[in-house]
Amino acid sequence: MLRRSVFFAIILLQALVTQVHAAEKTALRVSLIPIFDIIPFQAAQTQGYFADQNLTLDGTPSQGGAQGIPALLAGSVQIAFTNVVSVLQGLERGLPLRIIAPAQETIGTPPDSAGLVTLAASGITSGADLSGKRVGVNTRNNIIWLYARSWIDQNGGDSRAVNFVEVPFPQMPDALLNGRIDAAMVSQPYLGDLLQDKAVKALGWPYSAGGLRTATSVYVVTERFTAEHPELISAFVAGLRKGIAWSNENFGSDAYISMVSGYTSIEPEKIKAIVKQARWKFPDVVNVESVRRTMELMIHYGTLKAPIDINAAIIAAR
Amino acid sequence: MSRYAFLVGGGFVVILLACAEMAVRGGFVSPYMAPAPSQVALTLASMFSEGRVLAPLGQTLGLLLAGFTLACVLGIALGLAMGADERVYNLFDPLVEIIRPIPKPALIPPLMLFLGFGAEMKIVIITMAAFFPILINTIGGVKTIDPVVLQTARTFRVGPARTIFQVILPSATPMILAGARVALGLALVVAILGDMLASNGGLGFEIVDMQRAFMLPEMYAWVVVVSLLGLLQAFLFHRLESWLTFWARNNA
Amino acid sequence: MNAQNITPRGQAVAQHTLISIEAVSKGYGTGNANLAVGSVDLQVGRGEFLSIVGPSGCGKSTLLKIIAGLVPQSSGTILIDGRPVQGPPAKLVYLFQQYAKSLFPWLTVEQNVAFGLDPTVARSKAERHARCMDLLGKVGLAASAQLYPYQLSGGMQQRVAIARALAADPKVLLLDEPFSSVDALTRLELHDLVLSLWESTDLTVVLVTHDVEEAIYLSDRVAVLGPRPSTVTHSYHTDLPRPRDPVATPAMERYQLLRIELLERLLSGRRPKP
Repeated sequence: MLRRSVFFAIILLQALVTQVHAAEKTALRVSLIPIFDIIPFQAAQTQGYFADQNLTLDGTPSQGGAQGIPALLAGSVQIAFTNVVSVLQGLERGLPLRIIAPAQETIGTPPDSAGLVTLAASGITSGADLSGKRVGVNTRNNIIWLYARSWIDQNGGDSRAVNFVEVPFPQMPDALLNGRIDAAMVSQPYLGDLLQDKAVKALGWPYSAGGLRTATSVYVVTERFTAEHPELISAFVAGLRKGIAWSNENFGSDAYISMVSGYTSIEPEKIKAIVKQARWKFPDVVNVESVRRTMELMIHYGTLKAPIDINAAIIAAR
Repeated sequence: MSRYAFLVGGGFVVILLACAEMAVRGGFVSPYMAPAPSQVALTLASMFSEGRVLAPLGQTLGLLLAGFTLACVLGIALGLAMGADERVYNLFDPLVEIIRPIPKPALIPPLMLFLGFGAEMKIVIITMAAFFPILINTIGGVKTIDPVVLQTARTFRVGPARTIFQVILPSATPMILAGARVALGLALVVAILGDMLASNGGLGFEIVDMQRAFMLPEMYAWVVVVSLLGLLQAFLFHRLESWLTFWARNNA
Repeated sequence: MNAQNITPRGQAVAQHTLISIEAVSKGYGTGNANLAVGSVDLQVGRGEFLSIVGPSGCGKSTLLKIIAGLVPQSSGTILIDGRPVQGPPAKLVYLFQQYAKSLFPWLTVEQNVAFGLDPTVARSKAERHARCMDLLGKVGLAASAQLYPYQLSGGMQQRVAIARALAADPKVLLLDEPFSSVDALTRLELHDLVLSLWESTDLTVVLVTHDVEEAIYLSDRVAVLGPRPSTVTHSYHTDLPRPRDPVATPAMERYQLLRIELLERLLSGRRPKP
């Protein structure tokens, strides 16, 4: 089992490297999706950990990694929060992506960081019931979509007969409750928000099959950025690491809840209820073994031709 | 267009494509932004030969034609009424002037709330986009009819129905068709946009899907398909217009 | 001049008036301030050929449109066969000066003529075709039946308009400066065409023109309309033998005298004093 302790190396190196631009505040744009995955990032922002590193980070919302990566390549953002599947596809097509930090990992048991929901009155209980129906995903061809397909095929259905409709996560509750989609694979906290509505029921937990933890999202930059601004990457990672620590230590505190409520626009009471359901612990390294499992799934569904060596894409800041 | 003029213009396009090809191969343009035109052409050829183009094309085209036809019927009917009768015009004009300037793509999100993601939503938005140019031009066509034409109908004591269908409508046809031509272009734009946002098939859906999977040659190939559709549409409409208004050009 | 009340077929006008125009005026603007037509009294006999001449802008076209029911009068009455005119009357056709705009460009010559046919009279397709071809034959355009108006010369277009007007089987034809935009030779041909059509039917014709010679050549009577606000200032019987001849008739003394008289009337007040 290979585990690359990216951050141990980074911490050591950071201590050794003299920050040339230490006095200068540098502004970077980061493409984000307003879900639980980015809690450590938000924590680092609100607790000033990035500011301590002389970094000003400007978050811009995106619908998903499939949008964030093009923005990254076009230069309109410098760091993108994106899902693992989009990164792997991009790497296979030769996109110059580099992973600088992990974001989220599934728990492996329900309620997980994303799940399938449907209306309680819909009568949908299996993958077969979803044939010909509309299932919302934030974007197609990403990890949400991939695991949704996997669940459908393993639960009596044929994912090719399902109509996957793109809906941004914040709009999913509305789309489901108004019948514009029949089911959705939703990410936290929008998932928890929906499940608190009596009209909604959980349909399935695609991430929890096998009870294994799966790396779902990461932060990426371009290869050129790693060559030109290694110090900025170090700074980002250092600040983020503190954010991860804070998030894990202050899980469920009032400050934690109000921060999450702020960037997701969901009421604090609901966030509190969601947070009570499971103990979230954010990872500080990329779970490479789980990425291998995801790759196998991608190959099965034809979105990846062959396994690639993700280690080559994970960088240690110098 | 004369043979010579077409060759010059066509040659220019070929030269631009050749420059693009060299730019990509020479590494001046990132291949993640734009693949070489040759690669796009090959992808396009294989898409056609494997028959992958027909279904999405048929879906988009079907909805486009349905919405456009509906817009023609409604636009011409209301346009004739508004152009001929002052009271009808005063009743509808404020409403028209409020809705018309709104770029119809801006209405897609609200329409999605009411009508969901299906074919109904797409037809409605396509109809709305195509309706206004046809309406405005029909009204214009009716109002700018030479008074001599109308008075000729009167001196022959032609009834109102016959006047509308045998005198006013043919007379206004050149202007109506000019509006329809604009409407057809708008309808294509909105149809593709609807595909992209409502995501259940069609040409726009394919473009977005290929972008999501970072399959850029395919994505550009679908864009070319859209372009070809637009060209074909414009060409056929031009023929129709010539056939219906052969007299207008000569009469001016 | 001798004002004999003689119509071409020897009938006195007073007993067989077809069109009676009494105290008709037409004004525009608030309170009809701008009077185009001041007060016109005119009688047109059945089967008569009447011309109205006057300086440009005197309202003669307006007067003709009022008779045609296309424009309402501001005051006065117009009776045709005893019935007041309220909108375009039956059996009356108005021919426009701008014949090119009046013909429907999207219809062939034959279809244009067919447009004039009364739709309430049941006719089979063959009957309609025969009637149209007959009318086209009368105006000498049978060979052009399948052409479109834009393919015809000005004179031919005006002939199609005449054929179309005849298709409606009218009792009255109102011609508004119909020949002012064709060349001189074509005009002479059209004169003779109109005369032959009029002579072979019982049409009543009112012609408005600025061309004094045309008025004399064609008509039984010429009425002079004065400048705005216009009234009928003079009325002359032409007293010239029929059939008229384009060479012989203008050479007659009566023609010459009438011509001078009419020109004097029209030009009075406009000629520089010696």
